[in-house]
Amino acid sequence: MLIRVLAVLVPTLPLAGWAVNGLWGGRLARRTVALVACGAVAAAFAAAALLLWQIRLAPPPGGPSWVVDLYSWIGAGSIQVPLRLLVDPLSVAMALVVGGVGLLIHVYSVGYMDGDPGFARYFAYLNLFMASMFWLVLAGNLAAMFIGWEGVGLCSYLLIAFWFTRPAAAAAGVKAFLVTRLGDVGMLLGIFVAFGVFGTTDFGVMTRDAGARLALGGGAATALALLLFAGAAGKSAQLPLHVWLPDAMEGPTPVSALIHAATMVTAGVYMIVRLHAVFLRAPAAMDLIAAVGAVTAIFAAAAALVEPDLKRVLAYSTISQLGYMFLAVGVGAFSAGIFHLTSHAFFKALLFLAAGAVMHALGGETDMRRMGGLARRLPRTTAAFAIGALALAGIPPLSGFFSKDLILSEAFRAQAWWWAVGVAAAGLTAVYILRAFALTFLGADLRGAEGAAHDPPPSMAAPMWILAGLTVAGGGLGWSFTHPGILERFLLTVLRGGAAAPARAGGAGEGTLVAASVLVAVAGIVVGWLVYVRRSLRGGVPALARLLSRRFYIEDAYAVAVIGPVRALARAAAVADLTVIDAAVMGLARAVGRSGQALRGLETGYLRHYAAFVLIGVLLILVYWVSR
Amino acid sequence: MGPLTWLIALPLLGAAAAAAVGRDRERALRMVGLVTSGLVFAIAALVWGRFAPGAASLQFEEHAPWVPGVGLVYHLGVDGLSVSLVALTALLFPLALGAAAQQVKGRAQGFVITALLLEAGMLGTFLAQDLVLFYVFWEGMLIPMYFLIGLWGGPGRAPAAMKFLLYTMAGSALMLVALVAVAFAGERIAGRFTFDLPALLARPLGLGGPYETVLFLAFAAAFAIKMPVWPLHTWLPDAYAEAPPVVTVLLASVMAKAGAYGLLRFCLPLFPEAMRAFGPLLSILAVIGILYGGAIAWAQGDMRRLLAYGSMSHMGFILLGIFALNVPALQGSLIQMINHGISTGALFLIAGMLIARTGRADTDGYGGAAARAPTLAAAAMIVALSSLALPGTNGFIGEFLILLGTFQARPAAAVLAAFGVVAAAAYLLAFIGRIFHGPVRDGLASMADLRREELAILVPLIAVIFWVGLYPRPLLARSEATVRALLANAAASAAPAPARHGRDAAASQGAHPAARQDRRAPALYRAHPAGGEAGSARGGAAAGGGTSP
Repeated sequence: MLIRVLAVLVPTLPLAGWAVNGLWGGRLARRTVALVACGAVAAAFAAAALLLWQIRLAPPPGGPSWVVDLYSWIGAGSIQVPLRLLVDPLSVAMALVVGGVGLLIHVYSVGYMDGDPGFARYFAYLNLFMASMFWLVLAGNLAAMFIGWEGVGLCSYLLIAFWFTRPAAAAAGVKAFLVTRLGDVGMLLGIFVAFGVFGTTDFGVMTRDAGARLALGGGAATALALLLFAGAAGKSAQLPLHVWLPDAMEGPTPVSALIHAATMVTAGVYMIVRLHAVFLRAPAAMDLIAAVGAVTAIFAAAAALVEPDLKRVLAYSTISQLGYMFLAVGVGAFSAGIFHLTSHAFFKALLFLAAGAVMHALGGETDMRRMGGLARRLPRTTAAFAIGALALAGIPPLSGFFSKDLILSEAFRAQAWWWAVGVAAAGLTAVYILRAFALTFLGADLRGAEGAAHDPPPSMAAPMWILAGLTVAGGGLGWSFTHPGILERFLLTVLRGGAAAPARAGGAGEGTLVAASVLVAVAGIVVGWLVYVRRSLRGGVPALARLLSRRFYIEDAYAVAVIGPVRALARAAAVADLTVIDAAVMGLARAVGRSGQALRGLETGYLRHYAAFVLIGVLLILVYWVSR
Repeated sequence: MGPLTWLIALPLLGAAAAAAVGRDRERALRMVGLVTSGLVFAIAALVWGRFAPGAASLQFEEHAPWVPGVGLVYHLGVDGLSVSLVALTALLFPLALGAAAQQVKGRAQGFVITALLLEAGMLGTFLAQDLVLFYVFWEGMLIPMYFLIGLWGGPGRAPAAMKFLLYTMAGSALMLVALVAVAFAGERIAGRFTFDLPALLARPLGLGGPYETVLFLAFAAAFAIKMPVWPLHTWLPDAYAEAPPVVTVLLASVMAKAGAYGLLRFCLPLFPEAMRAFGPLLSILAVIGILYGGAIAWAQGDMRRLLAYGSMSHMGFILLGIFALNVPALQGSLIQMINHGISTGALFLIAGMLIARTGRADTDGYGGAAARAPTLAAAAMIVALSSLALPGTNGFIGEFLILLGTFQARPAAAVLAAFGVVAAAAYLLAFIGRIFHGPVRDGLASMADLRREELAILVPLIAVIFWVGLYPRPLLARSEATVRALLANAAASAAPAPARHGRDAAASQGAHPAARQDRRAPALYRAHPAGGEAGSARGGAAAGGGTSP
């Protein structure tokens, strides 16, 4: 069956690319390495596109999804975990986003990583990431999804620590792995709860039976939703597990674009949408998800305001935008969440690639305090960054405007203050991205001496322009005069299983909301312009600036409250193991030894004495057994 | 002689052959060791391959009177508990002997002879079905190990070896007394004095109460020290660190499993009530071991001690799964025994390769080694990922099933133990990071990458890591029927029994002579209908693979 073959090909082609480049990459020519890596992803993307065509052609029999069974993976007693792929509009849409952005970034990387001694290793890791991410979005049950889930985490670690001789990169990789794994403990426990409730973690069964097996607002539903959300929050860098993402910028910039902006970090959003039927049974957990999303959105936007490093500004921006997606799924606007996920993948990847072009031109510089005036030297990069920045700020008619606006209007319907927080964060977003743009591209040329800076070569420029095109046109996915949009209608078969799609608020109410958010975005840009370009708006609150630059002291709190004590405890245990436990045992041994000395009189060296002792012993045992 | 006897006899013959070769002909000696252990592996692989999954009972049984007067029988057999452990043991010996050729210098004759004697003892431990025969092998593997640590170890080898010997001797002395007591108890029920385990289990022993508790503790102490269970572990860091790394491979990968295996082979069927009663306590000790071992591993500066405490932490998972007493957890523990053997063995082999290159065991002496030895770094990374239970590698299958089963039995213990997974990531990534990442140390500038023969040692282990991680079915299928039968029997005999007389009467009905003649399906799994239910599903095909001559 064609669907079966295509679905299997999507993750296995990049896996094959990983195997080839991982095993023989060192001996292959660079051209071959690049060809294998990009070719594998291109073929996987083509397979995903064919899947789209196939499922548009014929609806799956009996259910919203085509099910592709591979083989039985784990079986022990009542626990059965088959490896199963799920082909439906949601997984195909995700696979297309992952494959499309992934392909562009593979191509971009060929130019960006040119000359790096780890060229083959880089592409091997990147292909392994693609395979894991495809597996994650196509997996048919939670336990099988966990393979991809931890697999992308592994690739994230490997690629953050790609330049492993740099201590900062190596440490950032470990940090990312550990923090996300902390969330994954929740995910794992969520899988166990799901086994307890449903007897399986199959997405189809969970979606079908959620209504019957989970009492609305009951303990099981809430526990399950919260545990899974812990995993999502770790992977998607939501408060309070966001701390790894800014450090992840130690990796090569295309990696930041692909893994830490466009795809992997959205896995948490995808998982919640995939299991929306379960989450809808836990309104309290949904409220928490929305609240965490809203708070994360504004917190990270504020942190981005004072960040001097261009890539880290974009990292905080990613955290903030992911917060919007969690706000969306938290209020039940699942397709809005996926819409923003998609448009964010386009414009944030574009921003990162443009930032990468800047770094490429400046020999790896990321500190915006040492940039400025680049618009004259890198006009095309500047234009690309500007398109991404405007989309991020939510300026119509770019895609970011439509997707963010949809989330805000859904949030308003759920609870007004979530909308207010979202709008405030949107204002901050406009300010920080204008600041980044101004510091990097406008003003005096601080690097006048280095006149060699130039726009990137075509292999890097082309992916940027394609992403710019998608950023401009992407709004069409979700917006139309006749609500709902294309994407939402496409996802309808999958998302219908949960709550009824909320009715659209049409007319004047929505118009006001849209006007308000556009106004705030424009106001943000104007404020940013006055502060960072015209420099006419001055002053500030030092205490607030300190608070922001320490990122609300969250990381400091972790260092004091978690890392320090754990480290001290581990060291103390290491010492206590020798001085207390071992000493107790050895003391016991010495006591035995001393009593042995006392009994030494029995040890005469005469065989007949020993024989007598043995005899006495045997007799005692016999007497005991006889008398019983 | 059946294949199982050959598994024990071949290493002994090999040891004799090595003794006959001149002591200065090192190449020939190494070859004797490799060929012998290779042949043993071939037989073990054959047994594993021809083992009929779905059968609960013993296969490839060999049965001969030994000392009939005192009820001793030479009884060997494999079932789901042991068949994969036998294969693991047989796989690790040729790899360890191969690595020893490069890492253990001097006294090659003694080393090869001792190692082969150790192999015979270890395989015998997993094959013996007679209590005394088991005890003989159990002690038999102790003495070669003592010499391997004491003669070929590091500077602190003498006290480490002595500590190891005394610790384990203390445990096994208790076990010796207890197993005689078990035979007496069996005689009271069956009217025949025997140490044959299947014969003893043919009907409930009628222990129970404090007597069962005492005997259980005597057995469990021996096994707990071997694993080791917190707080009986303090011989472990010294022994693991002082032994040559290839010997540590055998200590951690095989000998530790003998402890866990003993709990399942003896304690669970003989003392089901005590197993249940002590479940909470031992689960607590297991959780402490997981977190405590993980935390200390993280704080270690010596890579062997880091891996030693990490190994102890992982053994805690196996213990936790055993005492959850349900199918997923027990299956998880069994497969995790194999996984731990593969992963921890590979980690110590890699540590040995590093130490052989630089002469240093402290991680501070390393840094940036991945730049000099990329293949070694990649192998270390894969093995570390397997040890930290990344899905797709073998480690995940075991820990997933253990935690899942434990979650059903004792949620709180499972939740706490799940954080051990984070701890494992912390110390293993620290291990990788300190040695392979960071700026390249001056001393490592000329460090060599993996040689061909080193690659040949690691590749089989890496292949098993992915095979079990992606397709664990062959392993799980081989043990499932045995595990089900074991649990069903334990549940049946631990169920509150009527008066003692009633139980005895029921038991004597089961003592139909015909039932006990059929060795392919011991009465153990027939006496109780509850056990038969689980075992009989596919049990009909049981005899297909295993026959005794």
